Amino acid sequence: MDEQLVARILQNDQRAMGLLYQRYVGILTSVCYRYVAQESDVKDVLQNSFVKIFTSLSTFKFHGEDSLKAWMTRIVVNESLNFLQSRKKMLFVEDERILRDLPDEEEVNLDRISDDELHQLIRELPDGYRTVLNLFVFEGLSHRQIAELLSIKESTSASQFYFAKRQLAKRIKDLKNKKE
Amino acid sequence: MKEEWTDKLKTRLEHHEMTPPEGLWEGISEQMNLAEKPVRKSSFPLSKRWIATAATLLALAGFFTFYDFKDDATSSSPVNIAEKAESHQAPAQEQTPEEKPVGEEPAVPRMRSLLAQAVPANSKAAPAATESPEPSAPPVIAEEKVTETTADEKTAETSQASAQTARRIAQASSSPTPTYQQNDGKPYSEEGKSPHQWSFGLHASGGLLADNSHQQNNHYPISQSDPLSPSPISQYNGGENPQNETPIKASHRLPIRFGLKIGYQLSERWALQTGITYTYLYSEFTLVNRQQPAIEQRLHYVGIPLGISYQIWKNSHFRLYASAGATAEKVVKNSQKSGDSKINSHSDGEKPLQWSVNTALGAEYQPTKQLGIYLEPSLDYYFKDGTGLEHYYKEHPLSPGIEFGLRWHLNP
Repeated sequence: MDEQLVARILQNDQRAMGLLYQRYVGILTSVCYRYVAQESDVKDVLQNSFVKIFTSLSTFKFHGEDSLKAWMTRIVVNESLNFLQSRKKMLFVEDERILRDLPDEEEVNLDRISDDELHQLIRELPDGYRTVLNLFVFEGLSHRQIAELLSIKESTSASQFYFAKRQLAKRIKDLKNKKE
Repeated sequence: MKEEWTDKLKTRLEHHEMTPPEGLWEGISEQMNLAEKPVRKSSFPLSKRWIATAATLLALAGFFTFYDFKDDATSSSPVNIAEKAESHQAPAQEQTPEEKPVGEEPAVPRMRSLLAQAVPANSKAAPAATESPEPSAPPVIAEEKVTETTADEKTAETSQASAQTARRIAQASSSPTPTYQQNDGKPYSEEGKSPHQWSFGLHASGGLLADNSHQQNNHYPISQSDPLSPSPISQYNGGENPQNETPIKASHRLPIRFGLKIGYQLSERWALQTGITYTYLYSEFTLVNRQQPAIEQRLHYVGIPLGISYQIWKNSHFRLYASAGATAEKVVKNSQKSGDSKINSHSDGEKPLQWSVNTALGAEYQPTKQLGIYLEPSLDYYFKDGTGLEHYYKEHPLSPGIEFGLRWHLNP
């Protein structure tokens, strides 16, 4: 289905463009929010992403199920990172206080918390933590690759990830406690 | 260190969806659509629009082509003729006395100075029926503008596919389907770029396009005081000597008009227009029972129109609009001749001011962004000019006309 859609778009079928947009805009919006976080910025980034998607669609090659989705997602991620790095100075802080509040190795249970809530909690993480967590967990990049992408040290990436997990775990726990 | 829960994080959220921001699709179309405006979202299919437009134009064209210019009344007194003219008054007339002077005074001096710098000498052109109103300069300008426009139309991605894609998106409707909370109800989305502000046009109208040789059967009373020399016709006498009247035949050719127009876009749909026109009215008065040559009357008018236009519909190459306005024209030359001799009459010196109001429907074809060719059938009403002069406007105060011309749309 996706293949036919792309073929039609390459033949300048504007209805096909609308269909592609409809099919994936929900997912891509979620991805964008996860990275960019600020609602006021998301529209611009998403808009640029879609324009880039449509205009460079001719360079995309199908290689299996979900490959289009992955390709589109990667474009959104790149646009988001460009935005974050140009507009905001992404700070890679390490807030030691986090380490006190949560004992190490505690199992994090994701039950009784909704997807929307989880998504929101990720958005609320500080920029540095959030970006590294997103790239590691959702894009599956290694710390080496993240370090290259963000121009930081590999060790910085690793520690940012560690702090991100700890803070997210704490937030999840707090939320669950609040709900009970 | 357990990483599993973060893996679960991925599983939970990799299919997560969110409502896109409002206006996202519009923003996308706009961003990819650099030069052309989105087509108005309408369920009326394109082909039907065309048929409707063509039919409207044909109907209007057909109307005045076959319009019988023969006069109804054949009275023998000027009083009756005046009454007949009054009976033709359009309902619009009530509103016009207030509308006439509005905005015209301050606009005119500025426009005049702009026009003074403009090229065409044809505003005072001799009334050659076959003369084209286009000066040689503009086609060159148009050419340059076309290449500029083409350069502007290129998107950031320079591949041809993307440019074509951009144009296709431009012609798409403003929203794919109403699944999301978006402004898809807007019939005419605003473009980020401002529309072309100024336009300049050259046009010709009236007698060029319709049958010129209508014969009138008006009968004008004339004085019999001097049977041998060309006698003043009573229109010149102002209605004196009602007895001893010999009817004459008057033949009024359709007016021929050339002009220059300037338009200023106030908003997406509304524009203000003014310009300068030259109009030529030719009439022949033949004394029915006489053997003398006909009296030829030539009136030369220079006029300033003022009007507004409303864009009804537009796509990448065509637009349909309606306009309304008023014109003030002044006779700058009034010549009365019989054979080779000039007639001395009261009418000789008459150089009245002629007011008229008009409404029109226009169709314009735009081969490029900035050049348009248009056809504008109209309905005009000419008020009495306060003199005894007889001419086409007096004979047919409410008359249809057609104007065709070229228009250049410029960015400020």
